[in-house]
Amino acid sequence: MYFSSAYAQASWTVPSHASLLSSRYAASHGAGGSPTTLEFRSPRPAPDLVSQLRAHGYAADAYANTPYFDGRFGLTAHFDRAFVLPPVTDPLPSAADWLLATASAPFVFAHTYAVHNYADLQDGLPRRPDGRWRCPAVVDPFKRGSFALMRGRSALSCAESRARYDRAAWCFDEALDRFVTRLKAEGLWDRALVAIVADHGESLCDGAAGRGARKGHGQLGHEEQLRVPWVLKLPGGRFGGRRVETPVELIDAAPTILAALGLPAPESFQGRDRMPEAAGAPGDPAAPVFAETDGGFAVRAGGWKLLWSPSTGWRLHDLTRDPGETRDLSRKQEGKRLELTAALHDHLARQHGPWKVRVRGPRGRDTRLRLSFDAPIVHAAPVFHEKGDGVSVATDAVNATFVSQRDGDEDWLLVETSTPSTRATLLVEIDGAPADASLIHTARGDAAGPQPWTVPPGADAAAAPSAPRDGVTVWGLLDATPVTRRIELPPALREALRRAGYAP
Amino acid sequence: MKTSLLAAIVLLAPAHARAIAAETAPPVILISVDDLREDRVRPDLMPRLSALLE
Repeated sequence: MYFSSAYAQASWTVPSHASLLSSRYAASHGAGGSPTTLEFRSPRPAPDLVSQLRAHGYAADAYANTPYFDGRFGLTAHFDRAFVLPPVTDPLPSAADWLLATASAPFVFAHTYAVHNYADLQDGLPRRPDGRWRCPAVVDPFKRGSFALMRGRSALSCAESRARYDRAAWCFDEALDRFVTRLKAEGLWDRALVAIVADHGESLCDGAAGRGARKGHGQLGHEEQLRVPWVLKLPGGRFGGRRVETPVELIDAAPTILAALGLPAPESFQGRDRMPEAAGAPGDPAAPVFAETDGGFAVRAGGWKLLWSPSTGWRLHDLTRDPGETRDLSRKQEGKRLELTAALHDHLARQHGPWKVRVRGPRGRDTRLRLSFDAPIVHAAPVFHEKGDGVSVATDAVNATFVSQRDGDEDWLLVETSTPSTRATLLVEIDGAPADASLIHTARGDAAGPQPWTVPPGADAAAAPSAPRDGVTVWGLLDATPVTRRIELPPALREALRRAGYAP
Repeated sequence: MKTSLLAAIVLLAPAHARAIAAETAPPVILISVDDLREDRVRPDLMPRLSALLE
């Protein structure tokens, strides 16, 4: 069975896997950060596919040759055991070893960098007599100081990138064949439930030619980075050969697997059981699918795609007429852009808690607080204002300013926005003029919060939220309960990532 | 004695049910391939994965 139009919920490894396992959108589970700045966040604790299977008697092992399955990233919290293998090691043989040694109810997760490391596949390896590629015994991304090969990829020509990528895909296919052949020989394959997915795709000079060509993954939400394979083989080959063409999301994988096993899904799951479509029920071709990128968003509905990223701003694409997503129609098709913006707003507003801002201003003076966000605000509204007045919101296509007008004593403002992964700037005006920085006292409401404040110049961000007699005290926090945990990498791994080009 | 036996049965029942389920539960395998875009799943590039779609 094949879901031929499956979409990852993030375009890089950590948040996408958190979505895959927990069946939650990135804005909901909170895992992410940026591989380019080495700022990572682990997912909020919640049930996932692993915990649910273990609750029903399964033993669960994970085998990966990628650093993100180190326990510090929070993706493996519910496994019995998780092994981060050297990057030269194919995780599938280890997974097969454990499967064949486990008598009852094994669940194995395997994650491989076999395709990710395509830039390290050197030229000059001869083809086999049958004309097929010869795969190297190992792929060692550390040996040339290019752990994730971000630099290696960008240095390759477009033609060479595609050639090496296709060859890496072929080599993974060979590894998969060895895995399947072994399990078939041992009689395990036919009775197993097998799902094969990708966490995201890769841009291989897609889009416009020349400098406009897209490379890599993580920053953008174009089709080649989000559309991924999802193969599902049920025990006994049930529904074999069927294809589901309507768009689905990777967060659907966990509830679908549980449903196929006759097990319930936790209430926290946001994905849908797709077994009805597998059994022949019609899907909804216009149902929206959502994803987050490194600082941006994407929504596809029907044949349309709306994207926002810090580098590109809003982009609207007609996937039917322009599958390469080269022509931005966000101005020409204003109605469609607003329609998809509204869908994105509704989606994001459901995922996370509000910004919470507490304001205390000097009595008898008009104190205004502005929260200016660095990413588009498709939704901003006060959800709670203790005094019930003096609040207004101004928005435009790419930003918004939230203004709280205060006179005197303290109150709370809770501002709901659709900016789960951006920064806000605090601006304070007293009696219509920018406040003297010496009068503004700011502090983060929760030091463990994932969103740093950008404080006004001169303000003391570390100051305690005291109540100065002649000034304004502002502090706030984002979605404080529960917060994601910032990940502290061990020095050796951090250094390896830096050498590899992941560092700023 | 009867009360203790009944309590033991009640306490053990869920674990017993789980054990039975585990014995008959199919193995579950989830493979995640980093970076693999959907348009590469085609017979000339990935013949074995493509064969699983049949």
